[in-house]
Amino acid sequence: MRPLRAFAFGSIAGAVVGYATAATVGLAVAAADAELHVGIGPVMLLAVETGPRGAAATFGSGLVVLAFVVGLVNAAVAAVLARRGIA
Amino acid sequence: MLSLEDSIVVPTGVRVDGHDVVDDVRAARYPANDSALFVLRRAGRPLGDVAEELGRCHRLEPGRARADVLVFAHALNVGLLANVVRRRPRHRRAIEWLVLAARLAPAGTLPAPVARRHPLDTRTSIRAVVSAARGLVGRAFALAAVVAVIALQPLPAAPTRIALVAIALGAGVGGSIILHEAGHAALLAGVGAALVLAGPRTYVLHAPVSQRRRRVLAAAGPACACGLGGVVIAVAWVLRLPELALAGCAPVGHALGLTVATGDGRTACGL
Repeated sequence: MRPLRAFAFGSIAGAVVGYATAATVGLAVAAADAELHVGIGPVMLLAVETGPRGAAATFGSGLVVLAFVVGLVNAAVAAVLARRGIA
Repeated sequence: MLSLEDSIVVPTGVRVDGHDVVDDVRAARYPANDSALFVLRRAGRPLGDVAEELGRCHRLEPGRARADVLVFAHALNVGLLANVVRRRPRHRRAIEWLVLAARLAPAGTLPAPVARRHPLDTRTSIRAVVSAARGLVGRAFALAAVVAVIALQPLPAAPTRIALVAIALGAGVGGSIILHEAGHAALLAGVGAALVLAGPRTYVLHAPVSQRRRRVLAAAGPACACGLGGVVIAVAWVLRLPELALAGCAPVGHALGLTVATGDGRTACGL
């Protein structure tokens, strides 16, 4: 149960911070009438594009992957801390 | 750092019962010897006066009596059983702190901060939230001001925009502290609790609760802050206001408090 809880909390934290950061950056870039593409390799995190109808921001699947990775890392570190008896 | 001009006060929730010091919030009793009770019963008087009287009553050298009283007062404060009323001017304390910090620097340590304990009214959740906010408002404003001043550095470049950014960042950082601790306090209705400010640390002290409730309590603080921060960013998204979104960033950052990188996160994860 503890690894699942640690994974869930880590994923939630990663998702919240990731999406909030992407939203803030997207807003700032759109307000500046600029374009932005952020990704890690083939995985996109955020894309802001301007067109005749204004700016459009797209949250990429990379944010979901990021949340998943943060959850895994959190669960792994929690397992290590539990084994060492650290709280 | 305590001085002989300071005095200690027993905070709400702490009392002397016979030969014990009782903390009703933590439901704990601490045995106290005669000298300890001597000092506690003179709470409110300058520590120098207490030391003088202790030395006379127990035939101690003045230097020894002063050292004993200061060490004991410090121990009470570190144990969150006494608040300290500072009498020296702030600027003098700052200079003394810097001097002591320089002396301790080779040991890689800083002077121990003086802790302050505020009672929380936990009769209802709303009272708990309000009393937590009242205890933190000074610190929140101070932190907000520091962040805003730092963010104002590029001011000549675009005054209005930079000022808005600075205010948003400051409000977000200051407000996030209140949201975090209020989130903890909101779930402490019916449980004895106190707010503790110890140097840069801020936390809620409370009576022992079940493991499950402890995990929920630990998660509530970060969840409250990042939840409301997320709402602010969502509203900013709808209204297309990037400055407003910045105000939500600091509270959203408290989501990291759900991970094992923080004490709250470790408790929430069951460690």
